[in-house]
Amino acid sequence: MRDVAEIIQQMMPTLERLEPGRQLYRRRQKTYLLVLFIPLLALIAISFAIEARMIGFIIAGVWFVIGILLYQFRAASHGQMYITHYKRTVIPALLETIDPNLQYDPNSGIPSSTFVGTELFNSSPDRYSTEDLIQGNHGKTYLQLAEIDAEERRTRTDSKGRSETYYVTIFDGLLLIADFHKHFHGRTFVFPDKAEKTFGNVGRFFQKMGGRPDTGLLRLEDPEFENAFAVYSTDEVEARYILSTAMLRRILDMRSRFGDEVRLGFKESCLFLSVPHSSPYLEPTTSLPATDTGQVQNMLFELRYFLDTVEELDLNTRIWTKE
Amino acid sequence: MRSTLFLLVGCGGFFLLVLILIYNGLVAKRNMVRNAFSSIDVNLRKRHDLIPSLVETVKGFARHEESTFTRLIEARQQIHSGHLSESERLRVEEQIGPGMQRLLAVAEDYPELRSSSHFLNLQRNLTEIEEQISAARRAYNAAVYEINTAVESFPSNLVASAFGFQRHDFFEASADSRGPIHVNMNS
Repeated sequence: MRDVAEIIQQMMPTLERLEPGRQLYRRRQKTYLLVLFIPLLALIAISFAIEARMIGFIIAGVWFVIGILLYQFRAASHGQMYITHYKRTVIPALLETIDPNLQYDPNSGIPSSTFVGTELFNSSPDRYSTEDLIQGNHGKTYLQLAEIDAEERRTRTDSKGRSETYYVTIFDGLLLIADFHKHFHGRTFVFPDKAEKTFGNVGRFFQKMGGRPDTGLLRLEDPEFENAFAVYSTDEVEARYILSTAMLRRILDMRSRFGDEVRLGFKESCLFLSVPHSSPYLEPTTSLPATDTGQVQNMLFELRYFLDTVEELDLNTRIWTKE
Repeated sequence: MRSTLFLLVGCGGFFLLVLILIYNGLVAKRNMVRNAFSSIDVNLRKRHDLIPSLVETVKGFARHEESTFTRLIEARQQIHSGHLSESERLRVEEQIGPGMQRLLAVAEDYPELRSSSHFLNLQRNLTEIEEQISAARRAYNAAVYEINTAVESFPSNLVASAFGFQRHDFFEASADSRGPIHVNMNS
């Protein structure tokens, strides 16, 4: 793998070509914010000074709406264009340094039906967005990785009988779908352990109800793993075939990197991994120059951080009958 | 008088319900042990099916391993004869795994054998079956842990002794299968 400094050095001409687009956005942003706020403040001040104060406020309100619309169409759209252009130019180049077989599309993602089909989460999303799809063969493993924001609609009613709809996040983070290196037929899930860790044996009783249809709760040999995760499967033997003792250690190592809320699913000979990640992923900021090397380094780090999972879980080792 | 009768019937009903639940739990746990054992059995039989093919493939290259070939074939025949008790059979099975691994290790010194697609396929199949056997043994031990805990814990130990539920032995790898594989290259 090439040195980061060398990669950035090679990309510098590309980054320099992107910079005018960012500067154009920043100029327009400043101009339109001034155009919006200076008259707005003046209108508010005049409103206080005149008798027909309400008319002044209405005019200020109308100006505010017009200003926001102008800002959106004339300035913010340039910002979005710059971000899309940056992602389309820089990320594929960075990805190529990691693995030239991987493709990136900022506007594609993993469909909602696939997300639901992973069974990693109990709820079906009512509001769903996905972007930044990376897919292809990473070594011997075909994978798809995308950012997902899935929300569920809920309604609450207050004491006066007024109902209000609001959205609750089901999952906000990255979903990795990878071809698993062993054949299997059943369904196995590894979820964070909350009940048993908190309530001991009583918690384990409730934990039994936390699986998916037709699955049973398993007790594995590794106490540290048992303490961190609850494992459900349709087939006890197959689950242990997938979750070999070496794999249990690898998952624990991965958890120390990604955090306690990491979830894994194994079905249809594929691995599904969800990692919560609320901070922006592969998003350039317009406040930094396009040529900022720190930003490029961060993106390269983010890409490697998630793609390294394939090696971390040893998915490229194909010593079994599955090629 | 009537309330005493209700109390007695209630207590009796509760006692019977607990008894049924414990008994059914023990039956389920015993069946889990049997089921896990049958999974080991299925995978061991899959391993037996690879022996003739592996022996035939390696035979042409490593004639000095004749004793290993003979031991493997004999062990397979012994098991298939059906005259062995369960414990005897497991003892014989314990010799098969290291024997097969030994034949695979032999290939390290024969590049032609190592690159043969048939041999590679056998190697992959054996690796997979060995992992499946290992998974089945782990499942068996987990099932044994469950029933042993139930047989020893109060109050299920009372039901277990009354209905003849017994402790099971954990599956432990023999010293042979734990040790390194030594290959003698002197023909």
